Amino acid sequence: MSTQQSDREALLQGTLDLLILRTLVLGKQHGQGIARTILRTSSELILVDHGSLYPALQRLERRKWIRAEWGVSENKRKARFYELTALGRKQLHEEASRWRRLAAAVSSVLGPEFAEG
Amino acid sequence: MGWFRRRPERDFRAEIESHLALEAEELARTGIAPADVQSAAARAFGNVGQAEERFYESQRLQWLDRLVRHVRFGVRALRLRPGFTVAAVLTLGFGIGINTAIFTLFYAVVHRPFPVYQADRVVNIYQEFHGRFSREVRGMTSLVSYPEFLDYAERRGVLEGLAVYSDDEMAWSETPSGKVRAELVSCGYFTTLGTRMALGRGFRPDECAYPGEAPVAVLSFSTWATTFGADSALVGRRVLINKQPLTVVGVAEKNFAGLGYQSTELWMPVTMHPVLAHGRDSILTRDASWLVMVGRLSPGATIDEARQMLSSVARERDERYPGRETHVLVSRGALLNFPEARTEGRLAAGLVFALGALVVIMACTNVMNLLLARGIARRREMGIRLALGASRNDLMQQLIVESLLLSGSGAVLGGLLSLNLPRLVRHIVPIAGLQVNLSPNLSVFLFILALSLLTALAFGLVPALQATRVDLVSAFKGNVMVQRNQVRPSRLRDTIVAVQVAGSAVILIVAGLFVRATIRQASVNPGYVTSSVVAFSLNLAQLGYDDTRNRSLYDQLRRQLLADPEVRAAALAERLPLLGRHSDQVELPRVQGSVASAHNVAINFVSGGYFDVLQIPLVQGRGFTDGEVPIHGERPSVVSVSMTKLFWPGDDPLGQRFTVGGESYVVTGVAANARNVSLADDQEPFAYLSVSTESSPDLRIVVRTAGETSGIERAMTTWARKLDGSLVVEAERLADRLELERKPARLTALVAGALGILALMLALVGISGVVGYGIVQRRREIAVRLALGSSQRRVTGLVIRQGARLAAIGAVAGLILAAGVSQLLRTILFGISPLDPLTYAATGGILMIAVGLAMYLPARGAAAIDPATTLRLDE
Repeated sequence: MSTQQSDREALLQGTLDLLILRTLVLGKQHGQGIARTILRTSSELILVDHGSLYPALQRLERRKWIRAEWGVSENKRKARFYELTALGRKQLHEEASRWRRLAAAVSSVLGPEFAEG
Repeated sequence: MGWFRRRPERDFRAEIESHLALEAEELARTGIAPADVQSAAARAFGNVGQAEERFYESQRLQWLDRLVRHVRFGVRALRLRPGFTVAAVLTLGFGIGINTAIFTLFYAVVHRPFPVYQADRVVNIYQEFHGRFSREVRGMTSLVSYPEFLDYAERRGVLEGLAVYSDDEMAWSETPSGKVRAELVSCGYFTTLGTRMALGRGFRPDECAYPGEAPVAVLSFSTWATTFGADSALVGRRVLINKQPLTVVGVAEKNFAGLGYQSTELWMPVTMHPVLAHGRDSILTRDASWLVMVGRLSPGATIDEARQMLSSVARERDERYPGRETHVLVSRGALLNFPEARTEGRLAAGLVFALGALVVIMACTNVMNLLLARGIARRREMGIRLALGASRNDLMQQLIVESLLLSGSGAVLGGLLSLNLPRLVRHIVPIAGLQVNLSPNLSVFLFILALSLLTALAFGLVPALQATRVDLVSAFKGNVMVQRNQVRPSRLRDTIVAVQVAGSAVILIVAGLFVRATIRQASVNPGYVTSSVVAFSLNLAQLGYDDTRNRSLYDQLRRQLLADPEVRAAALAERLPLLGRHSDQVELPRVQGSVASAHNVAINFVSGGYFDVLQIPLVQGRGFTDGEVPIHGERPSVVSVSMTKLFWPGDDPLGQRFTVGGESYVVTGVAANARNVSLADDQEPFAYLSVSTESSPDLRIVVRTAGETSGIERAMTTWARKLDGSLVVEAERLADRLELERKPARLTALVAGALGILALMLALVGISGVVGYGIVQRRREIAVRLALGSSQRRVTGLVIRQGARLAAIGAVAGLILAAGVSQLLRTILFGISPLDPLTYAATGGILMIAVGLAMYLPARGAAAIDPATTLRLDE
């Protein structure tokens, strides 16, 4: 594993984790559903690289922020459903407020939109 | 769900498949053509393989996986070069083996707990006296007397038990040798040590109440089993020890034979000593050092608490001895623990460990050298692996694992070699009943492990750094010369080679000096005859003989001896030459106006025939005859030439007077100097004092025969047994004694020689490596020179010059170093000068020839370079 790769992961990691946790507030969901929901709620702006979705789920599961079990989807397909744990819920609150503070700080630094061009 | 249970890959694959199916349905609902659905779903998912791979990496113990891969690869790489591998493993095995043996010995003697119940609670207790004190010492000053032990034993609490013991050889006709290694012990000895009885009982406390009270004995298990065929009727039987009847009350448990380095065969209460020693005992003497004290800490008590408690006892006692201060030393029980051994042993142990370290360092530098050379040969391989995406870290790990494999194999070999240690020790130290536990244990194992890790780092790290610092471009061109900044590895190797030459020069010179000393020693004239001389000692003291019986027995035996036609001469003497040193203060009578002069001089008590038996020439005056009556209370004496020089330089020594131990002597003759104390020294002043049976109870009968002494040895035993059935005769041949005296020097010469040759081999491998590497580096240049018409000889010379310079630097440094080191050996070189020109010249010559050969072979290879091929290859 080279260093550059893990650098990029670290950059994305916090955000993706946050989005997954937020999506799961609405209830149990499987991987594909999570990706779909993120795509839909972000007005199709964020296309989750599915290749990093599963490692992220894996990671969250190991940190006990989410738990998983096999179930059946609404269209009768076997799927692995993820669900927020109490720990995950607490984590979501912290992460979300940290993210909002950061976003506010970044936009105040950037100031009003420049006329570009 | 168990969080520690790893998720199977199968489960993950199923999840991804379900994802793809769900995605496909979703896409189908949004109206994409079914044919494209699958690929669109897959596209949306991204790289399936990558996801799986990441899952895999996050799940497995990757380092273990990689380690297995490295080990597998390493084994293959080492097997591909059997020559290199065998050389490295042998070198390391030798180095690690020697050090393991040293450590095992050291551990056994200094650290290994006693073989008793809960040995971690057993402590050794010694006394150290400071200031003004006077004691009767048997063994070491740090031992205790019986009254002192009783003082200490009164205090309870910190110590659960306290005991003393003293070993002594005693006469016992029922054993094959007629003697027994006995131990006099306090009656709490077995309970303190937690020794159980295999049969019968141990000693009761009341059996130590009064001197001579309880004639009882306990046998060791092995004596019971071997001498008495494990006869259970033995308990309750009477045995005769030193002619005193004792009742066997018990047999100690198996595997316990006392705490000393010689196994004990029989225990008796210490209070029996007056009876067994026929009155020559010190049981009631307060100021005597003769008993070893051991204690058992109460559960939870510390060594410190024990020391404080015992020290308070010692302090109270010191109040009655103005000017004396007693320090009580308490330490965890081990074989060699007394303070005298610790101070003396420290130097010896330091020296031995230094030697061991030197061997390991030599081994490491050599393997490092081999690895450096191999690193250069593997440059291309490293280059390819780096180009294919291996990280430098990976390669480093790989090379370190290879080093660990080498040192690990070396450790296994070394461990196997060191298993021969007990046999070796038994061979070198021929002591009966030697019990030193040299079996490997956890500490020894940890030592080997640590040593092999350390050596792997020592020889592996630098070459690994060096080998992975590869410039891809030049590696592929196969041209390692391109970069100017790449001279560092060769400089490192040059240094190593010079150091190795220097090291082997030192060891070779020391070996050479010892060889010369051994030869000198064998040809040296000791100053007396050594063949056909035998000394008989009798255990009269053990049997309680008094002076009158002593004398009559000696007289009878001598008469019988002199009547034998084989016997040329017979005499009485306290000791034979080379049998230890007995010295005493020799004082000259105070002459008016002058200061009394006194020197400590080696002495021997002899009877008149002694000079005839050993044929020591008298250069002046006469010897003395048997039964010569002291004139005016002065006994006759013969002194050596060097003693006359010490006491009466320039005066006539005959008729001079001196006193030794309160007895007055007059010089009646002067004997030529002889090597009485050590073969190395013929200048030591020596005094032969006429013997009196009173002054010296343990006398030997010394005999010179016409030929072999074995006949007279057998006859002597028969005669003695006829006079007294309990007499044990021990014969000691002077020739054997001489052999024993020569053995250490011969052994040292052998070991030093072997080490020297090994060191030289290592250095030679290094030198030929340097030369060979130089040729690889300068291949093009050589090819060009050859192509331009340079002769092969000139090319060879060119290549050799570099190695010769290193060898010369190393050799000169080594010779200078050796001149310093060998000064320390002056006293044991039998008069060979530490700067013996022959040794230095020979060593220099051997080094030059060997180095020349080591360089010539690769250099010939250089001359055989084919310019056409070489130049075309390097295009």
